[in-house]
Amino acid sequence: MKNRIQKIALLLVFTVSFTSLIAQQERGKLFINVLGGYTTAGGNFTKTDYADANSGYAASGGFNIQLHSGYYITKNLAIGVVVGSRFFQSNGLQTLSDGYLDDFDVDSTTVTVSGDYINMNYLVGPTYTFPFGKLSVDAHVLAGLSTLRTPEMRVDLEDNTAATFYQRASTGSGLGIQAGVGARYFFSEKVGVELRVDYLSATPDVIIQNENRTNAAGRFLNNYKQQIGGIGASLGISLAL
Amino acid sequence: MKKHNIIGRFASLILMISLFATSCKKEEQVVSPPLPGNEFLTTVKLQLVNTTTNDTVVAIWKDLTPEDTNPADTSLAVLILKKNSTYQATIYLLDETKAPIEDITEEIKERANYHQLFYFPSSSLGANLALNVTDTDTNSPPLPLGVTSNFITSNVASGKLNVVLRHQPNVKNGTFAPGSTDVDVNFQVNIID
Repeated sequence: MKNRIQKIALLLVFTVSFTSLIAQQERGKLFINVLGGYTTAGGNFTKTDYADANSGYAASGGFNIQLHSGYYITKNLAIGVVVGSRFFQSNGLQTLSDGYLDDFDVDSTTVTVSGDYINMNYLVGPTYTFPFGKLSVDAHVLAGLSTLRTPEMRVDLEDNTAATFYQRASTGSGLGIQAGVGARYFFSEKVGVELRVDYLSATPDVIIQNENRTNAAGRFLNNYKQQIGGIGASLGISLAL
Repeated sequence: MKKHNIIGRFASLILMISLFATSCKKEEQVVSPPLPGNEFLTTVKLQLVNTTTNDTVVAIWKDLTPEDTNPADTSLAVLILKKNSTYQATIYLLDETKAPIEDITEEIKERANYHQLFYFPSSSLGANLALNVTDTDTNSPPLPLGVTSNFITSNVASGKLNVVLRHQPNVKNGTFAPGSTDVDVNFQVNIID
């Protein structure tokens, strides 16, 4: 947690220094938004039903950061790119541990999860801007590559280390589509803040890497392909260059 | 020059977001303790059917008070088999502390992929009693289970038959060593003329 706070602080410091430098430069048709905020997920991705292979065991709420940059090809229409990340912790691990306890008929099980579910998005698409003086309202639709990295899960059966098995951190990709609206308010000619809401739809296909699954017993996934999208609300800095 | 500067900083930001995204590492752990009210394996019943005469032989090992140190009831744990015969054997594992009596054998079959029954004739029986397990689990490749087997007798002999149920969660490989023992009982075997 401390490590994460340090990284966020570092990112903010970098962003602010970047902003102050850019603010002194001449204005162009380029915009750069650096945003962060809350994001949701739902459906099977957040289910914690041990018996359902579609259950993703992800938390229904997480946080996101994204960089959205674009270039105006007309007065109102820009073509832009988004590089964004969404982070979700694990959820409902007790049902997972209890399920393995029952399925292997052992006295105790321990499930250890390392890392978060990380969804990276590399998207391209148009943004249409409605300017109202210092305020502008943007609507955007983007599509591109969406990846999901699952956390590593280690399952210990009693204290027999030979029986310990792993669902290794695995990554897969698929099509991602994001649509949203945002409001930007400029304090100066070049620097402002943006508040936006996005909806992401993505179904990455993850081939799960398993290790030391000696016997065909207990919940076993070798593939995960479920909708991981959701709604996100973000706040950040907007630059018009 | 300024444009190069902007592109460089833009690339740095993307790189930073990517690094941030992939470097987050945290750990969460949950433990499931033993479930209350575990069943006992109080009774082991061996039922053998002679493949030629259809005669049925039954032997029963029983310990209805498994939590104390009182010895098990072995008065019926005796198999009397005919020489030069083949028997189809089935083992039944019961919990007779429950009412009605619980047949654990079905559970063992359901959990076949990490259970295995082993049969060890004593040296005094030697080669006069050969055993072949006839059922397998659904592991890949399939491994023996041991609920059903063939007992093949040759000459007159007497000795013990040690029956062991091994619980081998995620370590079953067809050998005795991995895992723990759920049942370890002995039957007297007399092969007669």
